Amino acid sequence: MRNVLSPRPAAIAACSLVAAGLGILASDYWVSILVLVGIYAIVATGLNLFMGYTGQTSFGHNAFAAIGGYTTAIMTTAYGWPPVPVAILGAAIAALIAALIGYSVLYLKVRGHYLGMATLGLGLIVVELAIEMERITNGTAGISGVPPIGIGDFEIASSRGMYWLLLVLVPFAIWCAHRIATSRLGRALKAISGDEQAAEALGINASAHILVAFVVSAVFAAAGGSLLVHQLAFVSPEVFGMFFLTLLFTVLYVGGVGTTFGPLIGALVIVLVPEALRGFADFRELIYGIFLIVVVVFVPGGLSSASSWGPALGWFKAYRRSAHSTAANRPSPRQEH
Amino acid sequence: MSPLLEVVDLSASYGGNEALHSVNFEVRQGGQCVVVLGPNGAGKSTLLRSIMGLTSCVGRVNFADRAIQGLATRHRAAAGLMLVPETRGVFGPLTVAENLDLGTYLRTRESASTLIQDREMVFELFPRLKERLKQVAGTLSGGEQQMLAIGRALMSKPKLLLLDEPSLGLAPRLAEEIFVALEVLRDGGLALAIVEQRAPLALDLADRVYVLQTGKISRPLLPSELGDTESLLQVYFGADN
Repeated sequence: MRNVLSPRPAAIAACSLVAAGLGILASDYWVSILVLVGIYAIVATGLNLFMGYTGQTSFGHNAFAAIGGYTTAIMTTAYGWPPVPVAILGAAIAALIAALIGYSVLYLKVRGHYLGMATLGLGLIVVELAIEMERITNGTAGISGVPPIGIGDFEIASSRGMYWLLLVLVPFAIWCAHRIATSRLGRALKAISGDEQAAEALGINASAHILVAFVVSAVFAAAGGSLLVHQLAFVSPEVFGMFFLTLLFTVLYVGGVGTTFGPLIGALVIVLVPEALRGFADFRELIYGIFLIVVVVFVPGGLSSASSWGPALGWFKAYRRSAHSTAANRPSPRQEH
Repeated sequence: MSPLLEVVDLSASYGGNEALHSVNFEVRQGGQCVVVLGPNGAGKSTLLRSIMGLTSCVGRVNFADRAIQGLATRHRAAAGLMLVPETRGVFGPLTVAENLDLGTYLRTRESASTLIQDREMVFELFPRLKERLKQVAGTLSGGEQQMLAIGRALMSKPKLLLLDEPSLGLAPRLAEEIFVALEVLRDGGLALAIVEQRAPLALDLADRVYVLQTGKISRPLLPSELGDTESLLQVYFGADN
């Protein structure tokens, strides 16, 4: 899993300037779009840590985002708790559930597609609970009037305010994930994804490591869920349903699973491309669909992964070579190929 | 003094088939090389995997005076038992350097300089690994992957190295290189248990030989007791070897 973007100070400075500039100059509309980019980037960074470095699949991370989001909505509206402790509570609950479910599943050696199915079940169950437990969650009507995030009297009441907050949180999330990936835990995870039995034979407790990655990624998802609910000032079962899950996976695969900046790049592309296509009206979804197919086919490792640009460039070069040769080397009747 | 590795009455089955039947096997001490010969399907891999805890079995396995048959694989590794599997098990997406580094996963208390020293010793045995340090393991040739698998196992400083058909699929010259390295390791005090089909290379190195056929193991033999290599090959491997 190689990164094409090893951060150089100049690159970081440039990106920071652009990001800061956008925060000041962009319209309210675009700022709120970028807030969504940041939130998806955080959730995707967590899932990327799990899927990219263990090689396993989870279709249930929308459940953890929902746990974070609903905890925030319920505790701030019904009980008037302050937002930040509530967000931490939501993350703790998500971590606990991830630990319980993860332990029972992983220590049974459930892996691969079976793990994917089990986590899919988790996602569906949480959404169902959100619908059914009406007295707490208000069912399909959802909970509105969620207060803005803030500390004490200081509140972030606008999208622009959320943007600045995310400008801090997103790099922090990416940095955390990077530190974990390059730690002893991260190295063990990469080994497990290469060959689990060989990793065990070197003394690595595979189930424990995968569990830790699962719990950490759940915390990222819950944090993202809380932020989303503050940004929308609203939550309902739909918010963290299938659409959210699909978006999350698209972000991951377009950006590149197992890369440092993949989740951020994926989030940018997934949110900005449809916006750019607004002018195409009915053709918008068609073009977007074609775009996604092209990316996944020609850049299979995701836009952030150096090695997958190789085949794409190779194809492109081969095409140009053959275009030149058909023009220049028209075979005379005597020549045979 | 009790043997380093003692396998008593080991039986293992896959589905309904019994792969190992009451196998008794031992490696006495460091600096000894024990070879288990047998044709395909004899149960050689099952034997090593059972010792390592990667496959279920009944019977007793004692290592360094401890009963390890109930222990998880990683605890057996921590005790000093290392397996180089038939499939080599190198971590494909990782580089040679990262693979070797993972061999030291359990050695958390030792200094970086000790680990670097040990890595240099692996490079002395297998210079090719040093040349290919940054190369992704999945792109290495079969022989290089075998060297990497052995090198990585060595990085954990094992007391006993189990090798499952180290010469499998390798050109004769490469197989020789590997066995030369194994001889150096044996002479340096490491205990080796090698299962092989290819008799001559292993027999040159062996201090003791067992013959395994359809799950049943012979008593320990001296290499000289095996008789004519030719007839051995005829009997166990068929005419085309």
